[in-house]
Amino acid sequence: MKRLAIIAAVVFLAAGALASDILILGTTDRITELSFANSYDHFTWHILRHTTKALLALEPGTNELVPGVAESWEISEDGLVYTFHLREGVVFWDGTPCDAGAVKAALERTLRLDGPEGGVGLIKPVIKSIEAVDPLTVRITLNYPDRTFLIRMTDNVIPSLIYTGAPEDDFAKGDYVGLGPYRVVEYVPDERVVLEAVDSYFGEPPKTKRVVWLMYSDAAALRAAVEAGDIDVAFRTLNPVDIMDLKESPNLQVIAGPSASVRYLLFNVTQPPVDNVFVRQAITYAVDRDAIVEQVFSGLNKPIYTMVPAGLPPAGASLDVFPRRDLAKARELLGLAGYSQDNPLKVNLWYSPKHYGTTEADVAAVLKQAIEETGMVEITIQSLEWGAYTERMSQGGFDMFLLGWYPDYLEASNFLLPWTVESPEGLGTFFNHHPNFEAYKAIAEVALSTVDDERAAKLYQAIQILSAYDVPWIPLWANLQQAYVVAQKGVGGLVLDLSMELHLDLLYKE
Amino acid sequence: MGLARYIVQRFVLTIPMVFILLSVVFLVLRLMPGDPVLAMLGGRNVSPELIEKKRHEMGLDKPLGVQYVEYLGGILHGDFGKSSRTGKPVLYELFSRLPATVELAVWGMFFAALFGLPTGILAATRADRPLDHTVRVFHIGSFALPIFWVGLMLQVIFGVKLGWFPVAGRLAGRYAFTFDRITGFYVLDAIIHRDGALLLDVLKHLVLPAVTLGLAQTGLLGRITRAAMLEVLDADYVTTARSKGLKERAVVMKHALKNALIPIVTVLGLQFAILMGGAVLTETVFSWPGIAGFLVRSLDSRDWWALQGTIAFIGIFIATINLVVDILYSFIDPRVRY
Repeated sequence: MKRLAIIAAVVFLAAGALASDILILGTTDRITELSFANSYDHFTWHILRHTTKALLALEPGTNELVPGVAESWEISEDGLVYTFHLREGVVFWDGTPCDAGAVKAALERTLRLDGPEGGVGLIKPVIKSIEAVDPLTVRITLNYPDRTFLIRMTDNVIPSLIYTGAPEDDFAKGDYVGLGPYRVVEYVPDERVVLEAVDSYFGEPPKTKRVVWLMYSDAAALRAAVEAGDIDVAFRTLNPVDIMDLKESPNLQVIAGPSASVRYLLFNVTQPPVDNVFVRQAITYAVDRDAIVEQVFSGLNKPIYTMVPAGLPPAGASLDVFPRRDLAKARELLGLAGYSQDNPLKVNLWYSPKHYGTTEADVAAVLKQAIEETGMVEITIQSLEWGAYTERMSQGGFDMFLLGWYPDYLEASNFLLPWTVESPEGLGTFFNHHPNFEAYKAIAEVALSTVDDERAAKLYQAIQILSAYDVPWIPLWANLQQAYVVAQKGVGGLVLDLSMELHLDLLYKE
Repeated sequence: MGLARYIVQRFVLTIPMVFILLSVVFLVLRLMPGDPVLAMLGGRNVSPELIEKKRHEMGLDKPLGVQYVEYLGGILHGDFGKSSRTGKPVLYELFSRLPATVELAVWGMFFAALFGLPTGILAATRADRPLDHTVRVFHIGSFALPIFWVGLMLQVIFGVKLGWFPVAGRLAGRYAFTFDRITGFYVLDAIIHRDGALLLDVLKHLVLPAVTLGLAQTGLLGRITRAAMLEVLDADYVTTARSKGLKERAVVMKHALKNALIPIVTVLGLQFAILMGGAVLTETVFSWPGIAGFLVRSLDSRDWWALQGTIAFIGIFIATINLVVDILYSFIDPRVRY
């Protein structure tokens, strides 16, 4: 009888241990396509980067550049040749060695396929050639020096991931063999993704063997699921009011990570009446960031006065350059632009109602009220669904409009160049028609080609200072909402950083 | 007219209906603001060359007439196109979600019938008495309440506060490693697995969404049942049955109900179609991974191919259900001949 009791106790404990081996997470995000060369969204990238790795990585928590598949690297003096030395003994899930040939094959495949829905453009223009020097040495030659190249070679940038076993002439669509800590064992669209730890992973073994992501239709359902205890962790994206409520729950922990996601107003600098720089400057003085943050986001987000999030490399790049609210100054500038109370500025404010959550209409309303407080502006709020919104934006059909940015890679340039130098028409500013466009371009070229962090930071600061005068954008708030994690008490390993990534391999449940 | 001939005739009549539906959907989508290519690529660094390349790949650079002919030709060959959002064939996307929608609709129908039929019969047999008035209030209330509100309330009360039922989804995460998706109908899959705990979990996940979906139909079904029953309860053959000394229960269930079934089955058939197409709110509230959610996401991303395919598919499905209901008449009422 005693023996039976011991056996029963062992079985019970084993069952308990097994249960804590599974972590259940919930999200409102979806997978689009598990393809390295043809996907460009947070959740798909999250799954891909947990199932395979790149030459380099970013240290969770600090975002410092650390070895990945490559254990060390050298850069030629002219900044054009990068030599990576691979770890010995790294294998894919199926036991195939990950040597220089495999790295070259994976990167070249991704560059060749370059899907229209992917982010291959983040690495393709800079790479001239990839060479397998010997089984453990890969040499990548660049077309031009680029100080962001190493950051782009981390697993944060999905086209840089190393994998094998994917079709040669078609996108992977989940059909690949990786070398990361997990592999996908089941994916049911709109329902769940099931991940299981891989024994052969070269890094620290994941703390939780089995992870299930459940997909929820909206923030309300996600909140209900974590509140009811159906899931261990809720990540991306709860409503601000839900986060505030859940903070009061005795069973839950609510953790805020840093955010590299920013929200801002953009101007098409060629479109009247905002082609007048005095008008754009006046609006920078009239917007009320505090009102947006307090009235719309219950104080959950944070006002910002530059596009570059603090803490982003290179050190010291972020500089608050946009002015605080000053209605007198706004009125003065509007007067200089020829407007008055009798002859008010008439301008549109465009937003997309669902793409950034359910709060966007409220943001537009608060902005309108704040700017109209000058008494010299009449704003017409207009909205379009995201599909029509992006179409009109890239056709130059907006004067003033709301947009958001989540970084492609963690470097200051990614928060300054897309709207000015890299894709001014695609992103609706048409800044390539601005008289100072060439100046921005020249500064960007010098900044990207320097390996000196301090110098690069100064140059990025210069762009920020110029932007506060030219006003192609007005930074409004840091989107901390997406950096919140709500978890049951007892869930540990919640390491949050500027990558806004949930590091699954560090998570565990006590 | 024989049954076989009737079925063929109905099937032939369905063809122009589906053709009109496909044409309207095709045209309306192209009149809507929003370009699917820009919806797919917009909001980030895209070159005009990339946009043109994608437009060419998707066949959007061809004249509208050519696109239309290719679209109809594809459907005739069972090719509903590829979703521009997921990159997979639309039929694959539909069939991977259809079991969830059908399972929910069936259980919603089950709850609607479970509450609607008995309460309708009860109200009819106690016409104009207090019980009848109470039941009628319930019927009107059940379809007057907004579905999303009912869903949220059930979710909060029975999911969050009492913890009796899961608040969303089809399966608890802990079963994800032991559950093999065989048919996609989870109740059936759980039975195939011969796992009682799994079956219980699946059924618990079904309760709140099915009750929510079924509740709105309960009122309508109850009212139709009541009206149909009242009509037959006054009929001569019911009076005859009573005068023969049959028990009231036998009179109601055997003589009256059977004759009242035709309008009830008609409504049931139509309701099933409504449940199939109108599950958007329920699927959203309960994160039910069915067709409705796919349709909404496809609309947001201007995924024309997914929208065309899904709407056509739902149209064909509803037409089929109505055909089946018409055929059922002959089994319910032997007087019905085709």
